[in-house]
Formats: sequence, structure tokens, C-alpha cells
Amino acid sequence: MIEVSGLTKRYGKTLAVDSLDLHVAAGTITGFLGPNGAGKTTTLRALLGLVRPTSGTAKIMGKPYRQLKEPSKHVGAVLEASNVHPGRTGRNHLRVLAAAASIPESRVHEVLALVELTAVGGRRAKTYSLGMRQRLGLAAALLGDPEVLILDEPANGLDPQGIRWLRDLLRSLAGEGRTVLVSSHVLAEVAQTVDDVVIIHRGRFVTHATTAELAARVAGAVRVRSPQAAKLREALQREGILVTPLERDGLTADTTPERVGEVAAANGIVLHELVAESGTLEEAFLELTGGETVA
Amino acid sequence: MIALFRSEFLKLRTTRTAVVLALALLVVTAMAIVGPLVLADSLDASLQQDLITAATFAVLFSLLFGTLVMTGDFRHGTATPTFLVTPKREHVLYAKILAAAAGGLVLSVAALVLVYAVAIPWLLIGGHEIYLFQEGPVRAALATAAAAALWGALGVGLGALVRSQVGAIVGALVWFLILEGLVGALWDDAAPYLPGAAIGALAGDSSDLSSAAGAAVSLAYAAAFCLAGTLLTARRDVT
Repeated sequence: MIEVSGLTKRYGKTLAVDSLDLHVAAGTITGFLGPNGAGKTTTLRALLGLVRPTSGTAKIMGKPYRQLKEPSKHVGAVLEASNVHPGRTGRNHLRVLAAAASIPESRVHEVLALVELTAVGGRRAKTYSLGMRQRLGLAAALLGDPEVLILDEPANGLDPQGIRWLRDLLRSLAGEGRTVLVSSHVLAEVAQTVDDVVIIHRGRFVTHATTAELAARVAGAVRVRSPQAAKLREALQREGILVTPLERDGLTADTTPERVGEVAAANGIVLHELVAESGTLEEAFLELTGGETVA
Repeated sequence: MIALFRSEFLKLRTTRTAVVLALALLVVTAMAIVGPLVLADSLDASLQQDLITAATFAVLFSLLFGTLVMTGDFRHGTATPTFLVTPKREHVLYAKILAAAAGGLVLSVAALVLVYAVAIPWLLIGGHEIYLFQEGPVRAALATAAAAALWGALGVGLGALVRSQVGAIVGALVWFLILEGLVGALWDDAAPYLPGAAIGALAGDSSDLSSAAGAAVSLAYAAAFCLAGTLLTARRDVT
């Protein structure tokens, strides 16, 4: 449904996107992740025909966006929540876009209701909170009832309640068979919503995996507490296991709990605590992107 | 194209910008007409012709209007949703050029109506003969309307080239208040063909050019700015 291949975008000396490949299958929700400045927005803008790639191609439904007929009836996008004239009402903002796309006015009222903005539709956009603007952006994206939705950091500025609302909306949209590509710099925002995750870092492709695969990839460490911590540490290190001392009698070992138990038994070491710390998605994400993000 | 024009027209109707601009124009025009009416010794045919000149503020306001039509979308980020709906960006530009030219026409007609609406009762009450419907003043009124439409379109081209709202407006002011005079002084053969002089030849004050030549030169400027602005907007990244 979405095919990006060899996409490169250079701004002067800065390489914003570096021969990126991205593939989004129809009917899936894909998270597009990377730290701030990883090239997510540039990629999405290139995909939407707003930014001209230095090289490579970006296609939606087999065509570059700018060659789609009536694009807003196939692809809806939210790029920045502040893309609205502060002196125009939310409803009029949508009417302007609907008029350009030859979409009937009745649809304006439908999408306003869908994003729960009907009550404030007659107010000027400058009185809107950031969350309301995000929802107005979503309403605009949904005007043409598109099969594909592309959302750039839609959770920015949303409170936890708003994030849950967004998650439910995206799920119900995907449930209707739509394809959704949603970017974020915080995995936790989208982890519960997406099927697949594409991670990029410094403009380059890092990985494409399901969220389950990603979690499985995290090397789980083992946390141990022992009155003979120093002795245990030596024993583990003799076995070639990476050990990090914790405060007083604790340490973490980069292996399985079974292995730690065996080593302790063989050396007659008493253990007070043995905990397998399962890796979180966020850790996997941080690991893959060099820890340059703020969770 | 009709859908796009409707959309641009709706943009203009749904903010206060156009209304504020029109009201400001009417205030300025009113001030410009009341002066000569009060101060003139005799309200003869030549002075009545000059009264029309009060409406030429509409031309400058149309330029401002055209720049706002274009740069407003860049300033408020609405260029992004606009170009998402219509990826053939040149079509958006055509609609804007048309809307700005129409807006310029409306502004100039409003100013002219005000001039006539103030001048006629004044002249009647004073017992003067009315020359405002003779060929001279009517031609001046039509020329003002044409000039306003042209400069409305030119404003869109200028705004598309500069993108920054403040940049485009300050740039236009600096050109007309300072640079055009300077360039004209340095290169006096070109002086009558500079944008301000050419539009002056078409609407309002006398000049070295005939009004037909002024119209042709102004049309060329408007076309050049619109063409350059359209080509550049179609190619440039929207960020």
C-alpha cells in the first residue's frame, strides 16, 4: 500500500533521509519510530509529495502522491496540529478543505462529530487547545473517507486521556480495513496500537518488526541479590558472563536465571533474590536507536 | 478549478482579514476625498476628475490583499493541507490569482462607489454641475479598477516568491518608497517602465507613458510575477 524505496533527501550538507526503504502492507497499523530528527517527518512529507526527494521513490497505492486522482479521497494525512488559521473557526477550516476537494458540506459535520469537536466547531481555532487542534487535523484527514491514513506525531500535545482516545480511534479505523502509518518518537504511545514497527535512526532504516518480535529481541538481564555478591561476581565472570554490580549485595548478569542458579550452586553461593527482568519495548527501542530518545 | 476558486473564496470570507482591509481602504479613501471637496475654491471639471484619484488607494490595497492571499497559507501552515488536497500546486496558484484579481476589483469598486457617493450629494448641495460621469472621470474609474485587479494578481505572485508575509509587504513598501525612485534616478530611460510608474500611468497621475502603455507594462509585470511564483511554488518543498 505504501512503498518507499531508496529514498534520500539532502538539505544542503545534512542528509535528512538516507536511502530509506519502507513497506506498509494494506490493512495494517504501522508505527514509524525514531528519535526526534531521525527523518520521520521528511520521509512522510516526501511520501505526500510535499518534499521532493533527492533520489529514490515514494509511492502510495502504486503511484507518487502527486499523481493520485482526488488524493484526499484515498489518503488522509495529519502533519502538524498548528496548520490552521487562528482566526478561522474549526468548522470553516474543514469547509475550506472540503470545498477544494469537492466533498459535500454534510461530511464536515460528520467528521467534526467523529473527532468530538461539534460543540466547539464554531469557535475560532486560536481558542483551541493543542489536543483539539490535533483532533481538527484528524477530522481534516478523514474528510475524504480515505483508505490510507498518515499521521505525524498525532499524540504530541495530547494528555493521557487524549492518547487513549486516539488509540481507540486508530483501532476502529484500522478495524474498518484502513491502512495506517503513524509516527512517534515515543514507542509507548503507539506500542499498544500498532501491528508493525518500523524504526529509523539518523535517516537510515534500522528494523521492521512486529511489536512481539521487537520485545523478544530484548536481551533480558537477571537481577541477583546475594550476601556473597563479590564471590558470585567472580564466578559468573569466570564463565564469561557480563556482570554489572548494583548497590551493596546486588548485581545484574547478562544471562538467564537458570544459568545464574547453576553457577551459584556449583560454587556454593547463597542467593537471596533471583529475578528475570524482561526487556520492555522501550528498552529495545532505546537500544536500537542508541539511547538518543527521551521516553 | 471551480472547486478551488470556491475554496479560496471561502478562505477569504472566513477570516476578518479581507473585511479589515476593505474598511481601512474606505477610511483612507474618505479622508482623501473630503480634503479637496472642503478646500477647493471651485469644483470644476478638472477637480472632479482629480476626485477619482482618491480611489487609487485601492490599487495599493489590492497589492497588499494579493500578498496576504498567498502568504497567509504559508504563515499559518495551511499551505500543507491545501497542497495535500490539491497536489497540482499550480492549480491552487491559478485560483488564488483569480481570487486576488477579483478581490482587487471589489476593493476598487468599493472605493469608487464611496467617492461617487460622497462627491455627488456634496456637489448637488453646493449647486455645482456634476462632471463625474463624463468620459474623463469614467475612464479614470475604469483604469483604477483594472489596475487594482492587476496588482491583486501581482501580489499573489510576489507572495509566492517571497513566502514570508512580513517580507513580501516590507519588500513591496521598500521598493515603492525608496528603491524605485533610486533606480529611476540612476537609469532614467527605464524610469517610466518601472512597476510603480507603469501603474501610475494606467491609474491616476500623469506620467511619461500613455495609459495604454501603462496597462500593457503593468500586465507584463503581473504576468511575470505570477508565472515565476507559480513555477517556484510547484517545485519548492513545502515544509
